[in-house]
Amino acid sequence: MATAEELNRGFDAVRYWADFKDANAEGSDKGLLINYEWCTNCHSCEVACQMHLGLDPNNWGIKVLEYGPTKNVKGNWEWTFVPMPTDLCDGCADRVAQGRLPMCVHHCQSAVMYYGSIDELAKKAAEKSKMVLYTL
Amino acid sequence: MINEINKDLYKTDWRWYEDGYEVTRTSVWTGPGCHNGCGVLTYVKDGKLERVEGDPNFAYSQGRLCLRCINMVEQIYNHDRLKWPLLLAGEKGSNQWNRVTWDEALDFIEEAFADCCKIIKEEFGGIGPEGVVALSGTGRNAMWQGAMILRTAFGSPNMSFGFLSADSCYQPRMTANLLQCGDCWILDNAQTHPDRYNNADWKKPEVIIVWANEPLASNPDGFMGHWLIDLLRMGSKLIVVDPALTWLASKADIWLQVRPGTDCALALGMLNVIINEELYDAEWTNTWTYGFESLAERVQEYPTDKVAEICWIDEQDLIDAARLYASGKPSAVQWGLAIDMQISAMEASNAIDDMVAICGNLDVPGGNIQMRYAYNSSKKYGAGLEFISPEMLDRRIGTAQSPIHKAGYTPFIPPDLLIEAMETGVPYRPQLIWVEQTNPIANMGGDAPRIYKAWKKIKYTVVADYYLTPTAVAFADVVLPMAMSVERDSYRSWWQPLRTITASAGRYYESKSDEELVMAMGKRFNPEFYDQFETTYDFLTWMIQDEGNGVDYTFEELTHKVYDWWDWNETYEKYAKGLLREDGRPGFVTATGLFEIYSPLFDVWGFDPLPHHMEPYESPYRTPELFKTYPYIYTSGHRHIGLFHSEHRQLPHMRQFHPTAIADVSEEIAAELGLKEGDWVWFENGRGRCKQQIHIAPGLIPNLVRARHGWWFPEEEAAEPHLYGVFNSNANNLTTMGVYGPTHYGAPYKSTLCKCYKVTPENDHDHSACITTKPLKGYHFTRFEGV
Repeated sequence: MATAEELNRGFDAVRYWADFKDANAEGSDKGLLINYEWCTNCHSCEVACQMHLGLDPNNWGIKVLEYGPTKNVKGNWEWTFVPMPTDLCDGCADRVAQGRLPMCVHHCQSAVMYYGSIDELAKKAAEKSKMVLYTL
Repeated sequence: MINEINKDLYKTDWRWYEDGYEVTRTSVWTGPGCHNGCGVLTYVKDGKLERVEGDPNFAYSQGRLCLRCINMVEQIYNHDRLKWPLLLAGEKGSNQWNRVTWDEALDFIEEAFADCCKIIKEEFGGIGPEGVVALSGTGRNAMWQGAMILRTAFGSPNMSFGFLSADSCYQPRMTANLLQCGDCWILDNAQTHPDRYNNADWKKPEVIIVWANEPLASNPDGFMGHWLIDLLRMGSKLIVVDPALTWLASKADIWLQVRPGTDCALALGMLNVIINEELYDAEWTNTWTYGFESLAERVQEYPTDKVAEICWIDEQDLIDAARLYASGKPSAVQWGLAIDMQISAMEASNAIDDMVAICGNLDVPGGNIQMRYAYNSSKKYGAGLEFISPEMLDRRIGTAQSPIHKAGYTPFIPPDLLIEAMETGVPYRPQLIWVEQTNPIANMGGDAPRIYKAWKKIKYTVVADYYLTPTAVAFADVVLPMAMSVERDSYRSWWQPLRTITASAGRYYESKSDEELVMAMGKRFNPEFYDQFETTYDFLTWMIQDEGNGVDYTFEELTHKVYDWWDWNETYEKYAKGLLREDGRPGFVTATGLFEIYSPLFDVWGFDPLPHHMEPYESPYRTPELFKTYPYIYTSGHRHIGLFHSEHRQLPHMRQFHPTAIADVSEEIAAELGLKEGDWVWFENGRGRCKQQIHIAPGLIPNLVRARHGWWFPEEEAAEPHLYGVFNSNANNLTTMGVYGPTHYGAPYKSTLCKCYKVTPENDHDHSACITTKPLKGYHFTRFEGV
C-alpha cells in the first residue's frame, strides 16, 4: 500500500490521502467470486436465497443487476448481468457451518459462482476478466 | 478449497437420514413441469417436504437447478391445489362443485362412458369407445399415462395434444428425423455420458447453431439449456438464428435475425453455400446418403442474395454462417420450437437435417447424435396401441386424410381435424374428452376462442390436474386431483439416462399420481389386464421391462439405482456399427438404409420430396393487402424463465418475475405508436385480439411483436363469464386452427400478422366475458394446406 506522501508526489496542491479503515467493519476470510461474463439472469440464485432465508417475494439476499441490452459504440451488443449480495445475505452461515455450499453457489445454472477463502478466490479471479469478488 | 462438495452430506445412496430429515435422491419431471428431469435431493420431515437441493452427484444437472424445482415447496403446499375429486354441481362454467370420493368420481365416468358408447353407436353408426378423445400436454411425466387410460381402459384410438394446431411442437422435427434417418438427433453436450466432459470419446462442438429457440429459458426436448454455457466457456463458436435479440444472440459470433417463418429458405441458402463451395463431407455423403444430387440441384433455386431477401438478413452474414458451420469438425445444431410453428415446419426440419448430415455431423462426437429412450424402456405417447384393433384404428378421426398419420409415424390424430369433427359431427362428434394435465384454452390450443365454442358441444369432459384451470371450469364434469412430482412414483426414460422418480414427500390430501390413475381406471374398465398388477410398483415394473424390450429389473430396483446410463446411447456412429437396424446391417432405419435427402416416401405421398420455402400463411408477400391492415409480424410462445407454459401462475415467487403478460414490442413500433414501457396494448388481427403489457425490447426486427403465451389469472374470478380472464391476454386469440403445411405439420403460431393499439378506457373491456357469452354461431371453418 502506497503512503499518502507517495501518492501525493507530483501534485501541486497539498492533498491528504488516508487509508481509512471503516470503523464498524467486520470481515471474514470468505468470499463469493462470480464469473459474471456468463451470468444469464436465470434467477436461480435469487430464489435459492429466498428459500434459504425464508424471504417473501421481492425481498432479496442476492439480486441480479442488469446492464443492457444495448449496442455499444463499437457496434456490439452488450447485455451483462451481475448478481450482487444484499444486506440480507448471511453468507449462508448455517449451511457453511454444516459443510454445505451457499444456496446460490450450489444451484447456479451457469456454474459461475464460487465460494471459498478470499486468498484462493483472488487467485482464481486473476484467471480471466469479468470476474467480481465479493467479500462476505 | 473452492466449491468443495462434502461427500458425507451429498451421498450416492438413494435415501438416507440426517438431522431429522429423510433425504431422497431422485429426479423430477412434472409438475411443476418442464422438459428436463434434473436430479434433486428432497429433505422431508414428518412427511412434509421442507427443502429441495440439486443433486451434485447426478452428471446430467450436476446440482444445478432452475427456480421451478428450487421453489418446489411453495408449489406443493399451495392452497389452490385440488385436494379431492370434484363433481360439477351446477351448469358447466359455473364453478360450482361437490366434493366426491374417488369411487363416486369413477362411477360417474363409467356412466358417462356407457352413454358415450350408446350415442356413438346409435347416432353415428360407430363402435362406441372411439367417442372418447384423450388430450395430453407437452412432454412431461404425463404423456403415456393419458394414452394408457384412453387405449387400455376405454379402448379408444383418439389421442391428441391439447388442440396444438398441426402438432407444432417437436413433432415436425421428430417426424422429419424419423423419415430421413429413422431416429431423432440432439446436440451432443456429453449428456449421454456419466462422466460428461471427461469422457474420452466426446469432443467439444467447435461451432454451435442455436436455431429458433432460447434454450436457457425453454430447456427444450430434454436438453438443459445451460449446458450450452459450458460449451461457450470451453470455446465453442456460436451462431444464433432468432428474430429477437436473446441473451445468447448477444454473445453470438454470428446472429442471423431471420424473419419468422423463413427458416427453410435460410437452411437452403446455407446449403447452397456449403454445396457450391464444396464445404460438405463428400465421402460421408457418398457413402451414407440417398439423393444428394437432387438437393444440389434444388439449392440452385436458393442463391444467397435471394435468400437474404426472403429472410431479411445480410447476405454476407448468411455466407459467413454457412462457412463457419461447415468449418467445424464437428459442428452441432440445437434446434427448437420456432421451426415447428410455421407452415414450412417439415420442410425446414428436412433442410436443417440435410445440413447436419452432409457436413458429416450426424452421430459423431460433439455433433448431432441419434438417440433413443434409455433401454428402449416403455412406450411414450404410443403406449397401449397394441390394445387397439385394426377395425378401431380405422375409426381414428382425421387420420385417413393425412398420409404421415395414416402410415403410423405418429400415435396422434390431427388436432385440426379433431376440432372440425367436434364442430360438424363428421365423421362423428366425440362425446367424452379426457384431459390429462393440459390446459388447451389457456395455452397450446390455436385460435382459443374457436376451441372454446367447439368444446361446448361436447357432452362430457374429465380433467385430471393439479389445480382448477380455465379448461376445467369451462368444460369439466369431473375434476381429478393429481399428485405432484415428489409425491409420486414413476420414471423417466426420455433419452439418457433411465431415471427414477421416487415418491418422497407425503401425499397431498386425496390426490393420486397419473400412474395410480391409470391403475384405478384400468382396474375399473379393464380388470382382465390390470388385475395382474397388485401395486403401482408392479405396474411400473411392467412398463420399464416393456415385455422384454426394456430393462431386466424391477421398478423398486430402479429407485435404488436412481440413474441407469444406457451404453447404446453413449455409442457414436451407430449407423456404421449396425446398431440401428433390426437386421443388424450398417445403415439407417429407412427403406433405402441410407440417410434420405430425397424422400421416396414423400414422393409416394404426393409431397415435394425435397425441401422448399413457402411464404408464411399471412405475410408481407403472400398477403400484401392484409399486411397493410396488420403491419406487424406477430409471434408468441417465447419462454418465461421460471414459468412453464400456463403453469406456475399461482405462485408468488414466480409471479415476482412475471407479474402479468408482458409482450416484447420493438423500439420502432413503440416510437411509431407513441408507446411507453409498461403501457397496455391490444394486439389484433382478423381472428381476434388480446391485451398485454409491453416491454420495449431492443434488438427486435423493426416490425416484430412477441406476445406472451399461457396467461390466465388464478387470482381472478373463476366462474364464467370471466373464466379467470383466460381470453383477456390470450396470445391464441390471434392464432389459427386448420392452417398448416402440405404434410399436415406446422401451424403459423410464430409467423402471423397483427396490428397494435393502446388500451384506453373507451376500448378496455372484459374480453374473456365477450368470448364466453357470444352466442355459438355455426362453426368457424378454416382450412389451408399450404404450398
